[in-house]
Amino acid sequence: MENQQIDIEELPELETSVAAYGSTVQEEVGGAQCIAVLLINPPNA
Amino acid sequence: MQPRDDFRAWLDDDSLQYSGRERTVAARRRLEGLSPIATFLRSVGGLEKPDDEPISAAIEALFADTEWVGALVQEWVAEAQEDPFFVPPFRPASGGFHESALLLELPVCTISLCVIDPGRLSARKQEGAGKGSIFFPGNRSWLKFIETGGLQMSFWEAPDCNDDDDAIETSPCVRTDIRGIDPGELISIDTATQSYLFDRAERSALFLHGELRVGGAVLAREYDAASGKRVGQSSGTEIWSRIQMMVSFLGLSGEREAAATFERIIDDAPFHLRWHVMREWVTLDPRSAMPRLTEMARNDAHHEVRWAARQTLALLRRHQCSEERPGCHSS
Repeated sequence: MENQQIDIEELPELETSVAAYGSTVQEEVGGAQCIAVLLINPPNA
Repeated sequence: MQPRDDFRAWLDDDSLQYSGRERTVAARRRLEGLSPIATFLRSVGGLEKPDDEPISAAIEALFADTEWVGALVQEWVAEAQEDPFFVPPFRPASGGFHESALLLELPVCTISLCVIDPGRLSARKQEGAGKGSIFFPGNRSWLKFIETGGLQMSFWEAPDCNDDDDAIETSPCVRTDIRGIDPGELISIDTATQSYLFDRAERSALFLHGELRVGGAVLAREYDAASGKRVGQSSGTEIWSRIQMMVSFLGLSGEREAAATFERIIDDAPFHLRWHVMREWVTLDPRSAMPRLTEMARNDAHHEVRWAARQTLALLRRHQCSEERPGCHSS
């Protein structure tokens, strides 16, 4: 097979979309997500 | 804004600022030297690999007796009485209705001390009128209540979901309990399938919050609070999101020598990332991607990935056909 040039937009995407870590669709009512610590740069990592 | 005289003097005096920083460093040393915390740090730091069971046991041991929390806070109050510009030795974090002190931030877990403001919690509930989502972040968490403040919480369950199951789980999340919290109560919860809401409090509620950062669910899930229906999902770990971003950068930079890297990532990645990587790979170098793409179309554990791989194989065949024989219509 020749190495064809494919535009990424031509390729299918999955029906189930998964957002990046920490993303939400709605604001949380007030529970686990509100209290959870989303660390961007943990100092000891 | 004009600073007050004592603050002006502090700003103008490097030695005062230096001694303030030294106070904070010394307070941090004392925090980490407290016997329960020192034991916890030794237990977690001595692990050869980040295994969630011994870390969970160490968190539960740290939360078994919370007298050390009072000792810490008293020390910070005393420091602040002596030096009003004293900065306590933790990173603060706040949310819509709570303030937290991040006491320990480790790659494998976090330990924080949180206080819920009843007025802000009530305002948030009234403002939201029950609309919004319930989140299942996917990690094991612990809440150890020191002052309950008349807190009432509700508990929720979502269906167990293996991300590689062929069937996309569509069952709603349901409320399983609503109750007041007992003084000294320890709530241990796996937020892959269980979650909670703070419904209301009469006074300030003070508690320790521990959260594992290893061994969690691949996906965090979000459900609509009113209907219980799933409304979204996100990566359960920061690592996979960072890898996803780096793979996109490889694609944007036209890096065609990354086949071995793509192969390794696909071996371990969750379904959404397997396909994200394959899209970049096919775009960069369809020839080297072909064996793995064919394998995906046949045997990937997730039906959406198999479908996407088959569609892509068909697309590549059409491209090849039209290059070899203009006017060809391969199916």
